Amino acid sequence: MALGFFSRLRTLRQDVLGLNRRNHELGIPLNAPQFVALVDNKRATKEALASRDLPVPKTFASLRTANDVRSMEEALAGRSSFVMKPTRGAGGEGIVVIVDRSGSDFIKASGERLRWPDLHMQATEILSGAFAVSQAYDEVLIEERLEMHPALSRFAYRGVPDVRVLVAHGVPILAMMRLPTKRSDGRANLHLGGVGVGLNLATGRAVYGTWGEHPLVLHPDTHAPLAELVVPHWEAVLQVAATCFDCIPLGYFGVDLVVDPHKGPCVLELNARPGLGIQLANHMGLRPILGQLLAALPSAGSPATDRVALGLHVYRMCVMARERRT
Amino acid sequence: MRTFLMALPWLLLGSAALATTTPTPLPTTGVYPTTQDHLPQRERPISATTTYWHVKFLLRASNLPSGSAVRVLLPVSDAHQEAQQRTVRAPGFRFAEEPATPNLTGIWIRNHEERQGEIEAEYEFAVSDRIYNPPSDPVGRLSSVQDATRRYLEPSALIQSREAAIRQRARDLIAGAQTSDQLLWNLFQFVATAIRTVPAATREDALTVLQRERGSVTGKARLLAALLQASGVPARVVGGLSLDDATKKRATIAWVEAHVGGTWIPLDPSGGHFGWLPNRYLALYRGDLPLIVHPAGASVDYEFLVRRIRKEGAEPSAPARGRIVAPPQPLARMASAYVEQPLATVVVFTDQNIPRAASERIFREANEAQIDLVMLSVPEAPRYFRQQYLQRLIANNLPLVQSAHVLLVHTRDDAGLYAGLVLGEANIKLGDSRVIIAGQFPKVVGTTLGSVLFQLLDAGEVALIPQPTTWPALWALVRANAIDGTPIDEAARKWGLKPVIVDVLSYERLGAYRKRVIGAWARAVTAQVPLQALTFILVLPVIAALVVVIRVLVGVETFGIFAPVIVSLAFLTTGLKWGLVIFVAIVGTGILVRAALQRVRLQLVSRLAILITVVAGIMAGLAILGASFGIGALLNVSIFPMVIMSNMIENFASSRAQFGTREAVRLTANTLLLASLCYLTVEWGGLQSLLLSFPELLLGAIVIDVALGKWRGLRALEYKRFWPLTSERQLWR
Repeated sequence: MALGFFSRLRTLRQDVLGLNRRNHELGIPLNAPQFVALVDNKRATKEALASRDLPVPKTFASLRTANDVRSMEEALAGRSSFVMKPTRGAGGEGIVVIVDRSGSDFIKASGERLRWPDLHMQATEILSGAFAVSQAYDEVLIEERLEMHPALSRFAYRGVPDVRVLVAHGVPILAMMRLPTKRSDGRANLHLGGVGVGLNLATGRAVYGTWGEHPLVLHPDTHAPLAELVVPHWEAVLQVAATCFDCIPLGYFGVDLVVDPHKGPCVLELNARPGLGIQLANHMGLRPILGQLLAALPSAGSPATDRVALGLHVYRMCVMARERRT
Repeated sequence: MRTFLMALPWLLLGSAALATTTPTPLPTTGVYPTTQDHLPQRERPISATTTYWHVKFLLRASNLPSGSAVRVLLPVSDAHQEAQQRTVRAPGFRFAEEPATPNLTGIWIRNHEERQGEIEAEYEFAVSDRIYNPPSDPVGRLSSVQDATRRYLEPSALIQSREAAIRQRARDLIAGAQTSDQLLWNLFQFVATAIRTVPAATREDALTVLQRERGSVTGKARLLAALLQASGVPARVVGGLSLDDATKKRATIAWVEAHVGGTWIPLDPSGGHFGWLPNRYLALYRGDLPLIVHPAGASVDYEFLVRRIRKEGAEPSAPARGRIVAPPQPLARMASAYVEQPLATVVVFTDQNIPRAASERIFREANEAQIDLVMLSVPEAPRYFRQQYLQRLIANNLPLVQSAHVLLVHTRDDAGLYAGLVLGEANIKLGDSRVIIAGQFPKVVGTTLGSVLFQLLDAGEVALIPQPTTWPALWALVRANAIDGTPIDEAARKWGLKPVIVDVLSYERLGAYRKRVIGAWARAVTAQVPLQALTFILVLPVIAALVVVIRVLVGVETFGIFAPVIVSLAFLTTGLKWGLVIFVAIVGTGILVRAALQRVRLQLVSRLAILITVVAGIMAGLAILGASFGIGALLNVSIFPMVIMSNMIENFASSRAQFGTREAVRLTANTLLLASLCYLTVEWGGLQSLLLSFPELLLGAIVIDVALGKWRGLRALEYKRFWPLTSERQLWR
């Protein structure tokens, strides 16, 4: 039975969280500016998270001045793979991923070869603020390159897929996996053409897939069936996401994690203004979930484990309500 | 149109006559200045002084058949001389004027059976010294002559600049000249000293004067013009009058103007004035033309009566009945008709095209009703330009406006209301004249701005016709008012028009707040604060509110909020078409340069500084292009916010790197779309005059801003984006 136009419109108005409401009810009231500024700085975020022993990629070097750039060679001695990124970057711009070294050359993920002067230039560029969100000066972060988990390798084209978990009031409420494609040029950003795969919050299994605004069943480049995607170490992923709230008390944020085959889930960054595309990927609006959550807010200082349990409870209720309706 | 028709009989008669008898050539007998053998090197007064003169031109014609025309070149005002009063008396003639750039032709058409007639034109002139320093550009640079002046290089029957003898002499004379001023001086010196000035009875051509080494004042001028042209300098002969107190003369004099470095430099070889136009020279016309043209068979006698007057006597007096029309600007058109003893003077300013049939009828009826009528019109253009043109036209013709009994400003929209306010800026009081402003604007706006005008002008009555009207209707009520004194209100109702009459009574009926607003604007205008700038300031918050509406309700993403707001403001001054052209030119070129800069790898600040330089270069280039091709919109390019444009280019580049070219183009297109939408809203909604009348509407803009700041519903584009989410699809698990 096809739904009528007006009942679809009603669903849309009741279920979907729009930008206006996100800014009003979540972004502005729940997120204190100093913590928003904190998560815009990747190095500061990592330091804050590491203080609670949360897994983050190991920092090899943090370059703040032109002098630091000159001493880059010492910091990278003996490192054959690493990632160089702007501390305040956005949208994955300015990131250089080195997977190997051969002689004096560095080999990028794409196979392109770089030399020291190229890396120096890139670092100087980052310092000048070329990739920073607010055009200010910036810092260079050189960190460990996380590896792809073998269970996920057939769902990614070139880059590493990451998990985005939405956390409201410290409770993980919705999650999706972002898969790099040829069109997104190895980046996982949905804007750029990455595939969004909605995840069952309880199990970490794929529930739905979207590419742009359209439903998707097979990965566009590797042709792997998205329905078979399962995120390994799922309980740990949720646990890490919920614990981020204890380090950085933002009321509403998204956590980007990569599941490393050796280290398990590692936090890449936090986003104080997570996009709304996660609703499309899960084929599910956020408002019923947020409504249920507000009715049963966790008490202050409740442990992460309790909050994960609460999130799962809210998620299951909403899925059940949704199934009853259709 | 009317002037053309008036000229028609002459064209028919005159061209037939030309075949047999040439029109009376410029008579150049009389007294000439004495010749100086040695000229002091470039002697000129140190500072300019102004003299005042009463000049009366008297022409007696006999054997002039009815319907035939006498055409006389009339002096016009310029930087050197200013006509402060003019009176024309010619019983038995109809008078019209026809601009023939750079000259003005007065046409007198005989409409009386009597074949004898007299024409009198009286002027009061303020004449100032004009001192020019010829530029000392290298001579090689002279070769680039603009198209507009190219025709002043062409030889004529009397100025044979292509003759071998003249070319050879010119070559010899300028052989040693390195710079343009040396070149001018060499040629001038030769004609001034080596050619003796002698009176001549016949017309002398340049070649003859050169061969005989003597010539009349005009002959010497022709020789100098020929030598200049042969040297590649555009040159023209100027016919004029030497002003001496209490003289009666027929003789005119002639000098030369050479076009160098964008200006016309006066060179008077007979009087010995180099780069100096003395305050005793009155220019009558430019070009080697006959002063008077009349049909063959008629005989004509004329003289100039010159008298020096005191400055006080020459100041324009308030109810001057002088019919002075400033030389029309290139874009304005003028049509005028005068009668012998006018009962009233009607002056019309318009941006409307007057249908030919209508204008013929109007001029005929004006003539029958003994009304002097002058119609000045500006061409179709974006609102801002029409208004600027009208303002300039009005400001240039203040004495004419003052002489009007009825002043009609008829525009398509509210441009006339603004343009009328320029009269207030000039502090003109119109006494008991009536001012009629027709156009499309809300009635309430008319009441407010009309009251400002009424306050400023002290006019007898300001009538506003805030609805589309036709020329016959407007003319009928103007005529009824001017001749019979029928109140405009009453006359208008006959034509189904509902005018708003602004007078003391209607002003008293206004609320205290409205009176304050009117008083404030009137003070602003008196203090020379341009109301247009004030309007832009008032419009800005409304555009900003509109951008907020579109972003919050529709969800159109742009490069920030400022870019669309400021760009739409720029569009208001350039019009949409040229605005888009300028925008695309600046941003397009900027993006290309930015892409090139990507390879050079510069720091962000230096890159932005380079972009600003590039944008500045493009803007200057566009302005020069606009000046060269007469595209007014391009001259306003400076209003385009340089920094915002540069930033937009950088934004484009960074969003291109982040989200790809498509996304960057989409954002740019959205910004442009939003700016255009804001522009159209302001333009079509007549928001400019509305806000000037009701500045309190800005509170409404704040209310909208607050309401939308609290709006939490989905944006229109989000409905589209999330529509698939509502489809009935099962989850996989």
